[in-house]
Amino acid sequence: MARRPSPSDYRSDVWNDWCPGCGNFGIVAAMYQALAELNADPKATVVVSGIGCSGKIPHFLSVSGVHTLHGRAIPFATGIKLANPGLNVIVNGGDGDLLGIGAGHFVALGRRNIDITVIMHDNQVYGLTKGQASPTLPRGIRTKALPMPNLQDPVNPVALAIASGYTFVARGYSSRVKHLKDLIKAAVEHRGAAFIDVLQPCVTYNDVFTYDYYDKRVYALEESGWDPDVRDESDAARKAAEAYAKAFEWGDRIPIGVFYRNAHVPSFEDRIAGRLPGYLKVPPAAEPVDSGGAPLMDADAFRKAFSKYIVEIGEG
Amino acid sequence: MTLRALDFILGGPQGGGLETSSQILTWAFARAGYGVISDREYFSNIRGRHSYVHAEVSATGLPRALRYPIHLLGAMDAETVFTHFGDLAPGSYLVYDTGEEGKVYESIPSIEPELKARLRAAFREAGLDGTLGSLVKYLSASRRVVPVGLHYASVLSEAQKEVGIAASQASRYVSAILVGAVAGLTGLGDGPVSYGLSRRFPKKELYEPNRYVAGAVASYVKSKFGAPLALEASSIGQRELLVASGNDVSAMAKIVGGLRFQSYYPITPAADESFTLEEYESLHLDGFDSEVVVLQTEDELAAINAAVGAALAGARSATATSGPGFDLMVEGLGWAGMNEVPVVVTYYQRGGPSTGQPTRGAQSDLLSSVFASHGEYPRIVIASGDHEEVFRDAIEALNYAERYQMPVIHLVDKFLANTIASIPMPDLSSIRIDRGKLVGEAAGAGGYKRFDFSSPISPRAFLGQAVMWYTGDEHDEWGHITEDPESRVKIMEKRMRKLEIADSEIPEEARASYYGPERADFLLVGWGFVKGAALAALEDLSAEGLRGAYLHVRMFSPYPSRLVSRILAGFEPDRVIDVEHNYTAQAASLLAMNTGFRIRRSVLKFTGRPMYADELARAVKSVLSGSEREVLSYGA
Amino acid sequence: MCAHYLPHPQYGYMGYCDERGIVFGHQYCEGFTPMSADRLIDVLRARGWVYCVDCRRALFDAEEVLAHLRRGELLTAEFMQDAVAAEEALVAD
Repeated sequence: MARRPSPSDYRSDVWNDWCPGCGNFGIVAAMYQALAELNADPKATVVVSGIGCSGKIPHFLSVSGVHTLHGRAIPFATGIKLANPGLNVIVNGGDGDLLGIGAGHFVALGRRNIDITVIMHDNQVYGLTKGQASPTLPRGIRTKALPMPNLQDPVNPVALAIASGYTFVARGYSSRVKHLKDLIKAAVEHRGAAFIDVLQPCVTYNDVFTYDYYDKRVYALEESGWDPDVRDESDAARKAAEAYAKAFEWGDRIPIGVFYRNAHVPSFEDRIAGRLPGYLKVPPAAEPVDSGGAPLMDADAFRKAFSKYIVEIGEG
Repeated sequence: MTLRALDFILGGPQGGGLETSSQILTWAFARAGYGVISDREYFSNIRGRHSYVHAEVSATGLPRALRYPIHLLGAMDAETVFTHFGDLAPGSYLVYDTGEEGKVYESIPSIEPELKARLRAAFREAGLDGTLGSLVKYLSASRRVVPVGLHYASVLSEAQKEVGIAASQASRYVSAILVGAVAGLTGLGDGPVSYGLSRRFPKKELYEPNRYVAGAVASYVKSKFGAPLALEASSIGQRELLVASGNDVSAMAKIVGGLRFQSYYPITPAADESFTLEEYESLHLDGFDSEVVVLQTEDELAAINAAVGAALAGARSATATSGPGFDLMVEGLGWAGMNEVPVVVTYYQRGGPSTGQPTRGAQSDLLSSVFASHGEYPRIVIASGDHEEVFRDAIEALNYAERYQMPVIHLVDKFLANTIASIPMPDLSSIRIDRGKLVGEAAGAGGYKRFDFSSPISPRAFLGQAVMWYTGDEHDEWGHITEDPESRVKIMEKRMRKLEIADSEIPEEARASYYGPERADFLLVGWGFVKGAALAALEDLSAEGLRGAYLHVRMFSPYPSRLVSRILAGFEPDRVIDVEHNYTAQAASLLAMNTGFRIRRSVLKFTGRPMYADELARAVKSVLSGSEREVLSYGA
Repeated sequence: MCAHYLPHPQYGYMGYCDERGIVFGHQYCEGFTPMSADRLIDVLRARGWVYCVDCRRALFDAEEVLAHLRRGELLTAEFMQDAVAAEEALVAD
């Protein structure tokens, strides 16, 4: 683009049918702003989502969008990114998507440290199926749609991300849009698996964790002197442990911002490039597979490549 | 007298050197110009349980099927003899360890109680005391089996004295004993045996002692028995052979076919394919470059969805799995159908349901492959019948997926996956790569409708080439959600029409093959690994004057209905026999659904062991004399 | 448009007055405090969006907000509490 893009350049024409007042509006607003400030190429940017309310977000963006299955946004994103590491891949998923039905994939992405950003819409409920408890709703809480208080303990998303190996771990609040936009930019610019837990009120089903609740409690980590960065690789374990402990601060004060960032871990793409010399130059998506309809491999190459399987008939 | 074909079994404890014996002999026989097929049968166990290799070596063709009874049993341990003595033909040879003669079957914990009960009955009837020694004597006296007793420990002590034995490799030398014994009895020359050994042991320090052991055993056996199982000179007429398992053939074909991404989760009997792909992930030869990302995922849900993601980005993409994994993939496959994604699932069938028989073969996932889904979407389902078909089909699967923009399921069964066969070198010049309708960067101008309604197969751009949307919800041309009823009709018709196009474009002759005389008296209908047994059984039957033919179905969606109907019209309904590896005659159901022809007679096997040509021939005779359903169960 | 008026998420003609603590139709009363453009823009900057109840759309940039305001449309970033939707809505995904 010749001129600097504006946030509205990243909006699609599709009508947004989230509930009036939905916490997701803050997330999509932060996405518009972050993409504009990153000068993101709409063709080379792919937003991958799961299902539910958060799953619809790709349709509201004018970059490429892949709206997938419940829990499976990360595996789709993994395939997309590894087939074409030149793409900027951003996952948006709900808390049920990423930490319930898709928790195994959430952990696996951390282990691999693929250069993907994961933005979790954390509203503690399953909105589109009428407000059941999600994996982040604390035990004993009874939001308005629940017949009985929640029996299950919540998983701590920030702590799980750190334990899984994400190298950028943050929390945002959907109603602090500038702060969230900056987190998204930093996450996208981080080379490795980045995770942002976004607190996001569900105005229809969650009458406990509301705008009012968070407005009174959230504070920015960076304003409290928190240093998330691993400056020396040998310091990674200590930093991770501190960030892990910080993740459990919840109550009168809820920290938002970057908890942990480690730029020293090789990305999965770099690890693959260590085995496939052409990988980053000509990724799988662009590597030719034929020559005018004929296979690239001829009989000679076949013979050389697979000599282990070939037996020449002979005497000795 | 020389043999035209030789059937033999080598058995021993899993992990104890059996693979090595089998590989060396397979290479050696192939080197000598013979066709070989060898099926590996083993328990779901890492080491210690009984496993065996059943091979047929042919001087006249490249075998695709196995037969009983066998000419030769090579036993690494007593359990092998207790398990397989009934397979021995009169006049056959039994190689065994005389050091084990005192072993009693009751004391062998790895023999399953059911087999022990059968042995008890058999031994009682024959008046045997339960030892290996008594069994060998009985076989020799009453069944004309020739015992070839070797004292394995002495052979090894001798080798230790002469050439030295590396402790961690000791079981390799047990392998060499069997290699030597088979070589001696079959008169396989020194050249081919050395060739097989040197391929298996490229390092001199392993090659030399193994060659010593094999050579010593071979000359002893030859001097004593004089090569009674010698094969006639080969008339196969090949200069070279490809000797590989179905798993490996599929991996090679995928590389030839331009595969760029494969995801998988470890499962039997599919995982070997992905291992092989990983071994060849980076090939840079003169003028040929191929790199494949092979991703081991956290589960099969991730495997299918990562493969779909890679396909969206433009990579030729596949995953390989078996029944339990496929079950987990079904939702992802539906997304691929909904979003017209070219992705291939190589589906290695094993015995089910549930964990079932992880290491045993079956053809019981056909209906699941064709129908597994909520909602309706088009898919192509191909099934391979032998190693050569696996090679072709693995490449065509990638082509069809991209040409018709839909998931393709390539069905292979465990029999094919694990069986090592010798096949002619593939003719690469006849292979085409078809990527279908691609628009590339041109798609971007003026907005790109990924699901443009103007034709059922919309021109495809990859993620990164244009802005586009995909969704698992029902969608419009742009890939945005719509629940409009008229739009729903349009896009359903667009998607489903693609299958009609595939049906009209893919020649039916490539989807079903007829083998046999123009006018035959009866017709076997089968698919997958049944092909080999059916063709071999028909040969045997024709020697008895029964003129049969075989209809081999290779594609189940879209089904070659017209061709199959035409062939069926030439037969009396009672002379059509369905043959497959399952309980419910699944292929016959699909045939009825697609042609309206109900096959009333069937020969079925669902023990997990392959169908053998001889048992199939017997069953066909029973059916021709009135039986409606024959259930086969031969094989340990 | 009154700054104290928190409209119902679906039926903008009724809302909650956060000054008087009552539900009322959107009409003038003696306490009417006009919603200023500045305040809407401040809310937009902080939250990222302002909702136009008449158009049933979230608005994401200032010019857009001002245009809707000039057309006299009902804009807000805060709605009156509504417990009914949670009971009325059906399972939908």
